[in-house]
Amino acid sequence: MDVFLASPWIPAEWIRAHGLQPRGLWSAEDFQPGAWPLSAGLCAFADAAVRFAEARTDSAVVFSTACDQMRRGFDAAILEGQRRAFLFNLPATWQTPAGTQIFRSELERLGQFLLAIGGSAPSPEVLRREMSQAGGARQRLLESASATSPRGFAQAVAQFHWDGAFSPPPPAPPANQIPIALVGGPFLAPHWEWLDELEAAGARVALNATEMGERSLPPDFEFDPAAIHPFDALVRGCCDNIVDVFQRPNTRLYSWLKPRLASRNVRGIVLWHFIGCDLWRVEAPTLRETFALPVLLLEAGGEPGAAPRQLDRLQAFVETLR
Amino acid sequence: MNSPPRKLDLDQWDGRYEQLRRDGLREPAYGGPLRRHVVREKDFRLQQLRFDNSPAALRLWNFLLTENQRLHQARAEGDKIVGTMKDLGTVPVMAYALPGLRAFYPDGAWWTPCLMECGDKLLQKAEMMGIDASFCPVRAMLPAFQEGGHFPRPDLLVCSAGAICDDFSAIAQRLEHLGHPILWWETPRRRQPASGERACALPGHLAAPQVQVDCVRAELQRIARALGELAGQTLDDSFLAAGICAANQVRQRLDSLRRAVYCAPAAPLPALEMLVAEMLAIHFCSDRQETIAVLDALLAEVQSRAHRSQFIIGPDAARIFWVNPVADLRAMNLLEDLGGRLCGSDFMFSHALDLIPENLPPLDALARAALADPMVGPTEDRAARIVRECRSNRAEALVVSRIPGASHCAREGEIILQIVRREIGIPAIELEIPPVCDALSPSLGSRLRALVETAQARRPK
Amino acid sequence: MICAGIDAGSRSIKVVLFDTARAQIIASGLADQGVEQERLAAELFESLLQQAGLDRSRISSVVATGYGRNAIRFAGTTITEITCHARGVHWLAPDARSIIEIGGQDSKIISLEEGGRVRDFAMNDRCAAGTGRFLEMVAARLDMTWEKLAQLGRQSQAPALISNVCVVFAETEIIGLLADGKPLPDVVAGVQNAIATRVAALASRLASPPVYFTGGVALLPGMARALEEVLACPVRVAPRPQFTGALGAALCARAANPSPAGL
Repeated sequence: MDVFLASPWIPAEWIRAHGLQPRGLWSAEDFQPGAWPLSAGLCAFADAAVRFAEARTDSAVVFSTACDQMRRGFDAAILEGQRRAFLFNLPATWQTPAGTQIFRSELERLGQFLLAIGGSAPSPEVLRREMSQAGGARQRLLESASATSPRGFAQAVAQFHWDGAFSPPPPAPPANQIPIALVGGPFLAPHWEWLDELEAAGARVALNATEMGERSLPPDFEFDPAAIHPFDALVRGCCDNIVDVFQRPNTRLYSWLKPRLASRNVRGIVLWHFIGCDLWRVEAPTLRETFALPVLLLEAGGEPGAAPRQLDRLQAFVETLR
Repeated sequence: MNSPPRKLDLDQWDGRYEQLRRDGLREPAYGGPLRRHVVREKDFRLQQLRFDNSPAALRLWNFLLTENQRLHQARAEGDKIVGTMKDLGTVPVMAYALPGLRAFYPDGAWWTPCLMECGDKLLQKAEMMGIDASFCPVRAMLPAFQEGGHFPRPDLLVCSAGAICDDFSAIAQRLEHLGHPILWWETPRRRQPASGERACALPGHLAAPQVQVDCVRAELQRIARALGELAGQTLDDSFLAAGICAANQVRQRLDSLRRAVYCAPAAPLPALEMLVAEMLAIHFCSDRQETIAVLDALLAEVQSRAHRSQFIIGPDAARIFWVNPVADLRAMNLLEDLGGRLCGSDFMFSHALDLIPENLPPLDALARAALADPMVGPTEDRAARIVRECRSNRAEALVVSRIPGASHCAREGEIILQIVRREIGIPAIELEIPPVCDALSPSLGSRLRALVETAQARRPK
Repeated sequence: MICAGIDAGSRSIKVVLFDTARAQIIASGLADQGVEQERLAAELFESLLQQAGLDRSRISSVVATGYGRNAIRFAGTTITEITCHARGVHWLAPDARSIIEIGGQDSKIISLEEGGRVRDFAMNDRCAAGTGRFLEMVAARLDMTWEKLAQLGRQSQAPALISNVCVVFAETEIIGLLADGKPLPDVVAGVQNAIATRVAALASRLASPPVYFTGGVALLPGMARALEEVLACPVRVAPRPQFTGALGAALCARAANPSPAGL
């Protein structure tokens, strides 16, 4: 059975260890966040997740508590009769034991859910193997980022989140374009055309720090199996490496961004977020102040006619950097 | 003093106040004519509102509108100020358990733009700080913090994180980035215990798994340590137990008031005063003892009116259950002007109205109370309570008021409406009410009037 | 060398011919925008050439800007309005450090470094409340021209407060104010203040004096004053505010010197 995950922070290796197939729901062909019009204030991504869950009653869908819209989207999906939906409580805090304890208990509870839908309880060896494979694939993906095009990298990461495999993205020569960082929320296949527009305008995404970019590829959770149970290593590895805007405080996001922006000589930041996403939108002034870089807001999920205006803004932004 | 119940505008209250003074009105130190708030604090909105004519209501309004002064006074006297954010009703109980601490809700600044009719330009300033109208009116607290012209800068800021609404979380995070350190504490999203999990009963007919109660208890322990360090005294179980007992005194009085008003055949107190009175329960308007006195006075007035069969809104008014607080207080007047009356409410903090268990270890009790927050759990739970109260209070219609920019309103209202219609079949609408709703009054009024007419038309002949 | 700049805006097309040797504008013109943007732009371009006594062969390069810039295929290249307005205003007013441009469908704030380079910018291109569109709506509702509207605003004694940020609801609010007997000049002044307030919210972190105001709306009496009040600093109307975009495009053409694709 397919288990669709609405967040990259829910460890796919845990699903796989139970003998089920995890898939990033955003990579599904029938996941379409562009249905218009939306109710006022509704996030198109969260709305699409709800519609996806309502339609895919043959599969399981795991929502996360990372945002209000997803939490209430889960409520809506349950109300519409989706019986194989699970809400994973991602802890917002990370500086105290509470967050880790929540994550651990949620992973155990998710395990119970997976058993109930036909999965099998994993042995430590099976879990370790899945963790090793996933960690290795993530590592190779990260290493490939600088040698491939932004679109190639986005495609490779999407493939990884879809089936766990590492498909080496095609190499691309380094281009003499203005390096920028793409920071923000879900950045899906229908949005990749913005990468092309950026390149046409003379810029290149040197850092894809969107929810489906490098941030979603934590390093391999290396551990000594003699000293620590794989489950404990998984909990610790996940908790130590979630880097996202919903965390409180979200200083970890800024600590993660800082060295990467510097090492890649990033000259500007494009802040990408779905309309209705307060968590990302609020960060624009903080990003400007913290990194002393120009920040352009680009919104997903708006009305179809907004694209030309967004393109105009993007082109003006790159001209400014030039 | 016992005049027939009426609603007065500010001009009429000037005259009423003079009469009450001549009749020997005794007021607390913060008393005085309502008009002074317009002159001194520039609370221009008061000129558009209509108020209950009782001395108890006067005391209530003066109490609400002098909170900032009270906080500054407390600071001057050496008290430590704790800004408690987002969790509505739990941390203030802990703070007030220790002498020398005052807690308040910086998010309460969301009413400032309404009261000052945007004259303070707080919303405009928030937008200049990068927080535009896509965020809820709580954004007004950002410039309030930066400018310092409203409440004093707290000595400690505490904010819940996790199962809280996004726009508030975002605004609080921005506040921290602007240099206001925050003690964040985790609130897990409440769920039903799974089979095999040990369940804990929560106030409000709710339940949660033990693991969640344990988590919140540990977090509140951390907050207790921080409060103790601030106060220079350990916040131990005996202090906490006393604090819970005192908080419950407030909650009991509020419960009595709500029953007396909402279950009466006609309304003895207007909706506006009920909204303000309920708000006191969250943080005691920075004076726990005085809150009790204010509520006692209101309850006495309500009981007196009921005894005399004198009501401010007649029995023919449509009984409306109201969900979510309004950014513009004028909306409560509008409801009654158009033939409705409040028969029940869920202003997003119904858990702060329930008694905190006194037969449990204090932190455990507080953890359960915190987890009972309607905004922390499934929307279905919140809707279930609303349905229960609609039934018991014989609601004829329901209004869900959307708060502009509030992330939870994007979907929650529709779910509540769906469940209410399914369970009790009363007419229900959703309205968006901005901080100053004057421009929308015609359309808001049409919709409210239509709801009232629909509700009244459904009555058995 | 003569360079041409074309600003294909949402409401009008502007063209400027610039003599690089003498560093001066030798012709400028404006026409209403329409569906056939390229044809309209070409017609205006031709008429300016005639007016200046020039042949097409004398034009060394053409740059198009504005939302409709990609439709002007005879332009050698296209550059966004941000860059062009910055160039144009800087040329006319080298002391400018901030530019506010309120157009028919959007508003922009541009922050300049010394030397005229764009440091940062912000655009409101989603909401009509801070744009000329709001004034158009009010003018249409009151059955008068923009210019008449702005003249009325100058007579205001006490501008009305328009609280809505949405033009649709603001229209309802305005009708309500007039029905309540609010004097028309006060309502008009309130509209101007509302636009200025929306723009100021965008400008807050970017605007530093000297602030120059450009775009068609800058020609309306009272708008600059309304901006001054909300920004709390002097706001100067740029010389020839309707043409700063087209001028900037011509200046960019001077720098780029691409060949025209042919008319």
